[in-house]
Amino acid sequence: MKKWMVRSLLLTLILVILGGTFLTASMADKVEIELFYYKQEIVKQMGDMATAFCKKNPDISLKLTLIPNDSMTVLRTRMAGGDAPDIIQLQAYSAVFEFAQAGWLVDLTNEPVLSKVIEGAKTSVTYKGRAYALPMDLAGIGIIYNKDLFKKYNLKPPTTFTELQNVCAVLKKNKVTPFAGLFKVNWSLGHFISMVHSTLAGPKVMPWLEAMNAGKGSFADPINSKELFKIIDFYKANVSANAAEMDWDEQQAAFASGEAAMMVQGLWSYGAAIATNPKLNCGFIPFPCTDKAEDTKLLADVDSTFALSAISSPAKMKAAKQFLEWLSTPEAIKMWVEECKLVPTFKNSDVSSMDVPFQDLVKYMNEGKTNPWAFSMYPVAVFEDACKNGAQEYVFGLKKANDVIQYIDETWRREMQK
Amino acid sequence: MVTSKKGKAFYFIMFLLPALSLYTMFFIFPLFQGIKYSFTDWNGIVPEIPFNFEKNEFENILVQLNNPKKAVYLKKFYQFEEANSLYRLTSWVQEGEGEPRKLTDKERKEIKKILKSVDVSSINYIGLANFKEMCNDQRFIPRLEKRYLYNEFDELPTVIGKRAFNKKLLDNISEQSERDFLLLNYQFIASNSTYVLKEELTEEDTTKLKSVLKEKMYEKVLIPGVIGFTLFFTFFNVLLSNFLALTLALILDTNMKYKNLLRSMFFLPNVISLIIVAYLWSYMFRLIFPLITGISVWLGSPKLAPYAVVMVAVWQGCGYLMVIYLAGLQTIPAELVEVSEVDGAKWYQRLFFIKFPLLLPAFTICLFYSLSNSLRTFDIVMALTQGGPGYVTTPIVVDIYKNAFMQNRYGFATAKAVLLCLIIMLITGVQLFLMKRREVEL
Repeated sequence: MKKWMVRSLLLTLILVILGGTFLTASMADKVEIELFYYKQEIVKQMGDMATAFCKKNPDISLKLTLIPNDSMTVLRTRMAGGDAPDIIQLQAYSAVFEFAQAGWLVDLTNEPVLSKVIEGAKTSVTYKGRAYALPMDLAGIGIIYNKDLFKKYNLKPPTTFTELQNVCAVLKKNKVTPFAGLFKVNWSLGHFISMVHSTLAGPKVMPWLEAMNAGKGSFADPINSKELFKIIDFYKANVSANAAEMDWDEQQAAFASGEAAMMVQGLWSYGAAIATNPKLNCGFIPFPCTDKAEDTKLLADVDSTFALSAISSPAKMKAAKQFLEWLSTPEAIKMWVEECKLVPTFKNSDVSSMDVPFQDLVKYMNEGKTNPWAFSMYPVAVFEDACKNGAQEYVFGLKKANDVIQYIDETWRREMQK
Repeated sequence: MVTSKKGKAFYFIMFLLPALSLYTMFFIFPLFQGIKYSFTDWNGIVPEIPFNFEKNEFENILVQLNNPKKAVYLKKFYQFEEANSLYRLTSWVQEGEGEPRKLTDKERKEIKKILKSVDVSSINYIGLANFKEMCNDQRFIPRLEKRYLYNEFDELPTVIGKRAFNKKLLDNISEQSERDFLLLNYQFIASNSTYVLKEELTEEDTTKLKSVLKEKMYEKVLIPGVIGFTLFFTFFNVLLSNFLALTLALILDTNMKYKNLLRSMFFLPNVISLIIVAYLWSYMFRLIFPLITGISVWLGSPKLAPYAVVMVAVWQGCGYLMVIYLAGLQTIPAELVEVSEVDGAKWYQRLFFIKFPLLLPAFTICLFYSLSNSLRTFDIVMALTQGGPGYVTTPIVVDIYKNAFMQNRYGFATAKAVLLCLIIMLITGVQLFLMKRREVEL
């Protein structure tokens, strides 16, 4: 082959590649909006909802982006590059507040869709008196228990700590693991320590949070820290023998197979357990921390929300608002409840078709027997590092109770100094 | 090949120039950007130019500017929102009729410049504070820590060994009265050299004893911290994977049967994705290892997890090093080995005086490769243990990741990354310098 032929071939190749990239852009005249979400349990369902929405609004196309485990990492990296998805699924409280404070989110306070949300859910998205996201689903953290196993050993769901101890004793005697454990990764223990802390503190949580944020006080203030660590010790003594090696998947498997009778988890885990064993018959109760039954409240709050990016073009923002509006229609709520199996936050939603554990959650919500997710209001570093790692280090004997409390306090103070 | 001047220019433009510009774009530029950010308190989500200002804050800026032209320019892009009394940056500018257009980079830069002239920027320079904080970060630096042995929730220990009692308890108490009180309640039994708790204790004494034990019974342990674990991991990974790779290479260099099959088998772990390797091994550690060794917890145990991680890393990495050593061994002229054999050199003499010196270039490469790889290890740890339990298996890069993405401390994390970069450059630089000098000597 001649030299010039090689060269011209190379040149044309480069030109073709460059041309191709420019051509593919700007082909569609539809408004395409991007929805960014992290709930991996509703991948198919989100697709269905997008199709249903686009059928109603043929001039809009919805692009779905799923980032399951590292959603915040991806989101922050994209934002650092000056780019943001049009609709963003965010965890309630600190994630919303953080982005609202930086100015990334659209103020939704006056949107009609927000007036359809139950009042109690709005605090989770309200930053400096303005709402910056649409609360989407309610979730609870507590004990998911196997009703069949409880019936077999003639047990009643416990309402006090003593009752819980008895239940565990009976289960152990019958060679059933009381709790399916999950110690290998730290997040579940982080939930556990803050769940017990909030339950023990009860109504004192909110004033305590204020004091902490003012740079005063300590993690041990609103509670008797002895009780807190006693309960962690108790939990440690009653989980699966090899909990230190168990991941979320193994925990689900142990619970679904009936090897363990209970698991301390968020209600989002129920879906995985029931998918493994469709015959499972479950109930959902709060984790009792004291011997007063009235203290036993479910840790329930808004889990995910949808927020809109403030840097989207006006046309896209309009389309995104249309999507939020559509979410409150009966059609969308029905899909949200029946297909996604999530408890909606809209007033008067019909949840009668949901499984028992969800009904239990709604029951506790309606009776007002719930505590807010205080951990979502901790500074991010406090929960992500000090609480999660601290609890895990305590369970593994790397840190003593006082060190854990001290570390949480130190981290909190450092975060407040900024 | 001799090329004409024109030809050289052509290849320079076609290949070298793109490579150089890409190198600048993706390496030089981010490196300096990183060094810049390491002196800031950036939290990772605040944009370069603030998206919104409080009303009086913005008006203050306008006053301070003292320049009507600039003020008008700012006002054009920051519009007042009545509802929350904020001035908000409009990312989309409506000019006349038609579609609004996006804020251009030029306009952004101009806004940034104007704001900077009155000292407003969302990222603040805090000098060396990040680097200073690193020294106080109790996760990062190796340090001695008091580990308290007694928990006030526990029962009082009835028997304590003599050495433990003296070293971990008695030595920590300075007050004579407290010592006496302790010795009164714990009596020394010479026959088996232990201290035994008195039989009947009053309520008051028990409480007092518990508080003494809670505060004074501790031992000092070295917590390796993130730096310590990284060095531990690097040391063992470099040593073991090179040793194993060299041994395998020497074995497979002989005329044994199935040597090609074995070579590919040992190289295979390197081909599999690290995430799959991690999954595979976490099953091994959970299901198979307990059966073989009788130890039930591996990755979840603070004592064993660091060794388990090293083991997987060695298994995964040694195949690649083996290939380099094999290539090195095959460049050694066969005559040389044969001649020495004829001269009566023993196998170990052949190994140490002929093969190893001639393998020195391979050593240089392998050491460099495994050193720099171990110092910046991330994926295998992330997939196996996520740095846990606690912080026991967290190498520097995982720590950086946690600081930046989980705790919103970008500036701090970047400072650590800069430090890591320096450490790697220093260590590998020294290694290369020393080994290259040896190579020249030969």
